[in-house]
Amino acid sequence: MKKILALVLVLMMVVAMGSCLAEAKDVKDLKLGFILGSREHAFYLKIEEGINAAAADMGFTAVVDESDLQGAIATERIETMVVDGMDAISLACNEPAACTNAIEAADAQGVPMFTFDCTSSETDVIKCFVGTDNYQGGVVGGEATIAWLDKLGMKDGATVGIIGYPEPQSCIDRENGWMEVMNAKKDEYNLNIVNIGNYKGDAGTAEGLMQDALTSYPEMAVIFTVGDPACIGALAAIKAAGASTKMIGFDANPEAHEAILDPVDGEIWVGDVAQDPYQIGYKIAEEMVKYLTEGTVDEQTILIAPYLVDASNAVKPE
Amino acid sequence: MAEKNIGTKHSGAKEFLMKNMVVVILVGLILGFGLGTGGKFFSATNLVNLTTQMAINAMLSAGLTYVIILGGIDISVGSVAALAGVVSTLIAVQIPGLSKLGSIPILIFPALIVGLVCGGFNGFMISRLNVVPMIATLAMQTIGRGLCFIFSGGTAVSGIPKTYSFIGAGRWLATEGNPNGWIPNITIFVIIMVAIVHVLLSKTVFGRHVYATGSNQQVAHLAGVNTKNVVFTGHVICSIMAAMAGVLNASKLCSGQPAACDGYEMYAIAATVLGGTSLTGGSGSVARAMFGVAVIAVINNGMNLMHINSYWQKVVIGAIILFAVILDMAQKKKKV
Amino acid sequence: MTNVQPCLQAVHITKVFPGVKALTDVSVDFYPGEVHALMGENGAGKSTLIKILSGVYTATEGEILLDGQKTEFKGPRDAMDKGISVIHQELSIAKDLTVAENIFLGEEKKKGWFLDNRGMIARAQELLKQMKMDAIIKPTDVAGDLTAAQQQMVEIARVINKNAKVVIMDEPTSSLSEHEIDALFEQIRILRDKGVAIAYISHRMKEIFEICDRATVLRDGCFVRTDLIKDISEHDLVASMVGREINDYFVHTEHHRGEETLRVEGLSHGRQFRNVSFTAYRGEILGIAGLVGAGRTETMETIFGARHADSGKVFVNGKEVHFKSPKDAIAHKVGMVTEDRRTTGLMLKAMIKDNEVLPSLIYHMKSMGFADQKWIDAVSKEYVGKLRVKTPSVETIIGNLSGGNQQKVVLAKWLIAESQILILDEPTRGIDVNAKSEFYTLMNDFVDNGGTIVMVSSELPEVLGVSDRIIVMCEGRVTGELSREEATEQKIMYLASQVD
Repeated sequence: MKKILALVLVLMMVVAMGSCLAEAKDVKDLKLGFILGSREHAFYLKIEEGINAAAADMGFTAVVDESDLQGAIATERIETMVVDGMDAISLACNEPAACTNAIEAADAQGVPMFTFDCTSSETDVIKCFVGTDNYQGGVVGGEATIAWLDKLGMKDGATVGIIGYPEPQSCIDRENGWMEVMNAKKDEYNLNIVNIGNYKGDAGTAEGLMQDALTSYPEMAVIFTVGDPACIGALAAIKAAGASTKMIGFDANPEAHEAILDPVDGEIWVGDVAQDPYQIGYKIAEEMVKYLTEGTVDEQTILIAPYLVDASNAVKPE
Repeated sequence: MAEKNIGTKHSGAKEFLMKNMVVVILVGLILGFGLGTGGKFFSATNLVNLTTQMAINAMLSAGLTYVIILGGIDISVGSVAALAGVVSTLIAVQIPGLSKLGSIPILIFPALIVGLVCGGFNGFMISRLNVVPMIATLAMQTIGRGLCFIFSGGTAVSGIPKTYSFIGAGRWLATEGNPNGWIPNITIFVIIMVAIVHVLLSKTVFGRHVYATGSNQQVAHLAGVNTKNVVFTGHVICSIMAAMAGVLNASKLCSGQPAACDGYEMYAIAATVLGGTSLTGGSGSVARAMFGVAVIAVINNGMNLMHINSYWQKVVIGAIILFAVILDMAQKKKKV
Repeated sequence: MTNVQPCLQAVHITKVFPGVKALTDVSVDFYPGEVHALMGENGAGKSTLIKILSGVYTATEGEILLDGQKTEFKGPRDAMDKGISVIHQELSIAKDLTVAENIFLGEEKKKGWFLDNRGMIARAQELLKQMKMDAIIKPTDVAGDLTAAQQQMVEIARVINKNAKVVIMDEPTSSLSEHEIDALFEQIRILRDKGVAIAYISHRMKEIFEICDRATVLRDGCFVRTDLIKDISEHDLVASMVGREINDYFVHTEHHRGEETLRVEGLSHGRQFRNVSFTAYRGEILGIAGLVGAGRTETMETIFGARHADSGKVFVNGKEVHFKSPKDAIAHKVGMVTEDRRTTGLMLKAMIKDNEVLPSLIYHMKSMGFADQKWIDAVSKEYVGKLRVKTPSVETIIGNLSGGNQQKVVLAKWLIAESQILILDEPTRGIDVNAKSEFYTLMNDFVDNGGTIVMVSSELPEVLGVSDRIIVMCEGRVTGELSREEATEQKIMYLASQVD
């Protein structure tokens, strides 16, 4: 009995070794792992759509999981995927420091590592990063803010505000991008820049923050938010206060498109910075396949440029 | 009989303060913020805003008061609220020509159903299967949140008719200076709901049995109270109030956010305890919990008006919760 | 016998629990307007009888007659509805509710949909006035703020409000002071004069003769006698409660008393025990007799450091000690076998060996705080063998053993901890006769090897059969000391009911 067991084990090892040695780099045989930040965000669900579309187009097997935005969970997912025999793994690196070890360990075991959405500056083994330039997105939002001040003719002493979420890196980058534009124009426009507060990703919280901001600054001209739920809350507050504040959001989720096209809401919610999560998902998958089949990537960092959605290019969701 | 315990009976000023600490804190905060914001806090607009900012937590805390008096806890209220909001908005999306009054049943019925199902689940687990309340409602919290994302497909429910926000965002009594109106419908709705559950708890036999069961389940059982039913019903009421809070939130925002009300249970527990409801059960009141709700709302509002960094706001709220619990313990110690 | 129809009758009641016959063919009649004492030692069957009369248990055989009609109680609620109320030894008061709320708990008055608070408060006030308590207790007082005696008054008000036919009072005076007892008796007389039948359970002779009209004595689950109080003397009553030969399973060997090991001087704690002094010696078993509630357990727990005394001194081997916690007591080689093995004596879900070595673990640590597994295995096996614990292995979960074997493991625990002074609190409670006998042998061995045992026991035969010397406590005080030779059940019972 024991002998048979030993024999089976040896056979399994031989087969396993064989499969390792074989240069089976046909795209059809590739098994790629993807770790999303969280399936509770529409943004990541769009990325997942892009990944699945790429898998359908190219024929590789995509295994998609999520890390709940936590580095510790991302680490577990990476380790599991390595054991599961992924040919390459990519992840949304929301907490870079907490998964550096896992990334480097996977790389050392011969599994090339990629990042999307958020990357890590803690390690240099990452083959390629595909993401939105969040900072650039903030700049786009800032430019739109200034453009609206021009349109409103408020070139002197206008009050502008930002509803932030200074916890995830992406939102911090957006805030910083917007602030850069504001600081640059501060003297020229004699701006009064207000930090409205941290909405913690919760629309209800954003509503209270906006209400209180309007109590302090009823003349608030334009605000920028780092995420669409903040706009949902702020919209309710602005409407309730009967204020004429304009608002530019971030993410361009379906509800943003809808509000911008709405005759009433569109008077307030005038623009939204769009990312292209579908494109991010598709692109990272392409780069992973390219690396595994050709040994190179197009570029180490590929940023999908954010762009402004407004009444001119918003589409009504079906 | 001669040796009557005089100490506990003749309550001095100190005891009065202890018992009414929440009122003292509230008055102190209001005066402090009134000064700190240069009177902006007392502006009519801000005071009206405060009532709408209290609305959701008032609903959650009023329901939670039942469960806490019963000696339990319900940490699923945030998820239940979000679930009701998602379900209600999903229905509203299907009715493009929704009228303002027509939006009311679209809010109330989904809330009742979600509240009954979720509260029934909690109540059944706790009263019949003797699952520890913390664990049963933790399960409901996770299940409820999962269902929110499943039903909404992971994204916010949008395309809701504007009339849906009649209750949540509509106001009465428009004036020249305030064309939107002064009296928020949501405030009226919340006052009515809170008054109903307050009266149910303080004036009815059922309410009396809630106190008795929370004070000593064995004693209540021996006195012929069907304590299992009382515990079950208490949880159903808590969840219905949470679900009502959820649809109000959705109506206020005119949006079905699957991640809505995440973590709100902590504010509700803090408000309830601040209002003098004992975490070990047996005593408390819905009306007093409203003072706790006001304290938390005033802190948030006042700090926003004073532009205090959001990180510090977290620290202050945490400290207040800690203070409430220490107060609770101190009162308990006195009784023993 | 009176001609009046008894309002409650227990007729030929037998109650069998798995393995135990708690009551055998007991008949008692309760008459309206009479206070009827139920008496007997602990374990005589009084509690079982009460529980049958109040619908908690159903009798195995026999029937209950209510006003002469055969009746069956579906549960406590049903019995209550039929007019049987119980005032339990532990108060049944919801401490967070007010007096009025407690009185009407379960049968609130309503006005339409709502509570009729005003009506209930007025009725409560009326009841309290009837009881002449209205000056002291207000209907709106929170019950938890009242004293124990006042809470009991609230319970009595509840009973009056229910128009109960029969009120069963289970040791109602156990937590009351002298005045409070007088006030309670006044209420009992008021109830009695209204024609209520009262079943009164108490150990205190003085009370029985003061308040009761009739007494029924039970012994070992059997009916002994029913007499009018005026026809019986205190001595006869005590004699019929104990009247039993000391069984021969008590193994007593001659011990050789050595030097003093444990001395307690003037130990007091509130009303639990006052000015308790005694001395125990090497090579002897000191019995502590008394009734349940005499403060014996509290005294022992205080000596062991589990509670703290208000005043008094404890000396071990002639030196004064101050035990802040049981840890200090263990370090001084004092061990305690607690009253309730299942909750305070053992970790029921753990293995035998882990239970055995728990107090000694810190004295057998390897470096870095690791437990010495080799020692644990060796010593636990050694003692399981020595004490003849019947178990397949030392890794058996202790909850699966019989009571006697569990108790042996508790003893092993203290032997392994090298205790020299062992406090045993009701050491043979709930274990069968053979196991008891074996346990007594182990106690004798321990004492013969120079140990000291202080044994609290409420079973008179045990105290008499095992002890070399007996101290009797009553109401938290030492009321007497008896040598083995002079001790009899009568003398002990007499000392144990010496309420001052």
